[in-house]
Amino acid sequence: MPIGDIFEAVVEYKIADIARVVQREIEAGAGVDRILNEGLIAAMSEVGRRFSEGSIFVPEMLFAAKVMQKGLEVLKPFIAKDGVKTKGKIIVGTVFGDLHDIGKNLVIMMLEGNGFQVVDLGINVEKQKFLDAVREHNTKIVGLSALLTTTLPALAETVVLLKKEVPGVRVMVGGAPVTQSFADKIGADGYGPNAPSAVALANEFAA
Amino acid sequence: MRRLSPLERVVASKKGIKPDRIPISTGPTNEFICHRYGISIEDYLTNAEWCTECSIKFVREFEVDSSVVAPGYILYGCGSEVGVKWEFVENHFPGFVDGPLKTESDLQAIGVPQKPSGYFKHYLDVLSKVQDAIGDRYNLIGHILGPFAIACFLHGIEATLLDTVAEPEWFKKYMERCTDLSEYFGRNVLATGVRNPILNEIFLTPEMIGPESYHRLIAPYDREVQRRLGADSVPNVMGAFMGRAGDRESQKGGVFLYRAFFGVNESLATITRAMEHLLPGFPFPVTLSGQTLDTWETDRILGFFKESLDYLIKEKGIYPSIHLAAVLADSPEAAKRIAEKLEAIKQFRDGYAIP
Repeated sequence: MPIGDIFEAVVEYKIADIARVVQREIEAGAGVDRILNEGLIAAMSEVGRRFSEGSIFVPEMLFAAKVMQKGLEVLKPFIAKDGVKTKGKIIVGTVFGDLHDIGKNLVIMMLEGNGFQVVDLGINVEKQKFLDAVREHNTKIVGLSALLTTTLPALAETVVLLKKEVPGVRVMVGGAPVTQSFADKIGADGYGPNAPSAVALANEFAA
Repeated sequence: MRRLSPLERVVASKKGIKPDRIPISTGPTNEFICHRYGISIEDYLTNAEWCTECSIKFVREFEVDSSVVAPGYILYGCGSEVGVKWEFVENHFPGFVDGPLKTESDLQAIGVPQKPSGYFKHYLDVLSKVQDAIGDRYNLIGHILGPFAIACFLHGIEATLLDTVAEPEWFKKYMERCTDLSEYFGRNVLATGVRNPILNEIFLTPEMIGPESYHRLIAPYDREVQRRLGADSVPNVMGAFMGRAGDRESQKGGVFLYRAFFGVNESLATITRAMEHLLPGFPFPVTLSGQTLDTWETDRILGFFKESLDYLIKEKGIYPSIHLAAVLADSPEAAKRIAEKLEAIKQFRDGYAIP
């Protein structure tokens, strides 16, 4: 199956082939929506599943995401042209005082690979900046990352501000020191222990 | 039983000999020490006299038997002196931003320093001073960055992880230089006389990188550093959690050991699970993470220690330590609150009758 070639290129890390197979399927009239959903997004879901079950690890997930992004670059002009809608827009960032980004970046790759448009605010992001971004981009889904125990207060403050100022906002949190009980305590809508679970939460919030 | 020195206590515990009381060990304590004793982060990182004085104050005040001396990633050798960029964010220790290694020509430009300077020299000064002052009585631990950790600082964590699968030949090239740097860091740390240096692959966890990748691509370089420094001198703590090459069961067990050792989902169930995979001679503490020390009420902390110590001593016949994986605080008020818990832990330990 032609779309299967795209799926295989991502899950088998065939970075040299992905641009060619995506272009081939576009020219063959496979349909942008089908290439995206049955090819790239389906492949990243499978990658997420393999990571969750422990058969692949962070390096393999990064590689698959890189392959997917290369395929997405070829597809992007056609996505806009065909009016293919993303699942939604998500604001993501590492909270104030924290300079770690690998977890955040993995989540972003998985979210984009699963059809979301992500606004990456970067690291060391003050709570007001998250609020400004939500308003500017007119979105109601936010992902917050923290890797230091000492930045958990900043995580809590950001959640509180967003929940107070943006009715209906859905906030998910994650990072090494974050736990489900902490997430519940600070009023977050979801806790993701890893990148695939962040995607599951995003799908739930976007539904 | 006579009162043992902290060092004797730790040695007895590791050898499976009943100590006079359970040892207490700590991982990183830098931010707590700064807020507890009123030393600025800048002074902690640059003033060897103050850093030494406060490090010694900590172990004495809380009667800690084993402690990591002067923890702080920027101190271990990959500071600005080798071209790594760090960012200082108010009230926090500096965070890693970027490294100088992007291309092959960058690699040619990265050499092994002639002699220590900057933050690394400061670290060595503190190690020497603390070892001289209390090293005959306390179990002091010094960190030697492993080659993979160095690669992550020079090249970036994400890029290095990606290279292990996408560009393994390039990865091997810079790992050779990182091995030379690790040896250089190690020789200087050993020269301070610190009793317990450990090879620290700080970015290596069994949940981050696959065990097969570790054994194929990273372990050879770790072993080479150990060989150059004298294998018995520098145990590779993180490598112990990656299991044995080609043995999937031992590798799965490494994940359970890692979680119990560093305080993930702390509970008797976590410890029990980890004990199924215990390696011979592996020191097994009852660990509380920095976050848990901060968030659990004191009674819950002490209850966890009691039931876990009782289980390990009575059921498994080992004498563990109480290990505080990190002691953190982001303000003097937080440090005061943590200090009260440390005092309670000390009193619990003093009153705990070893079965």
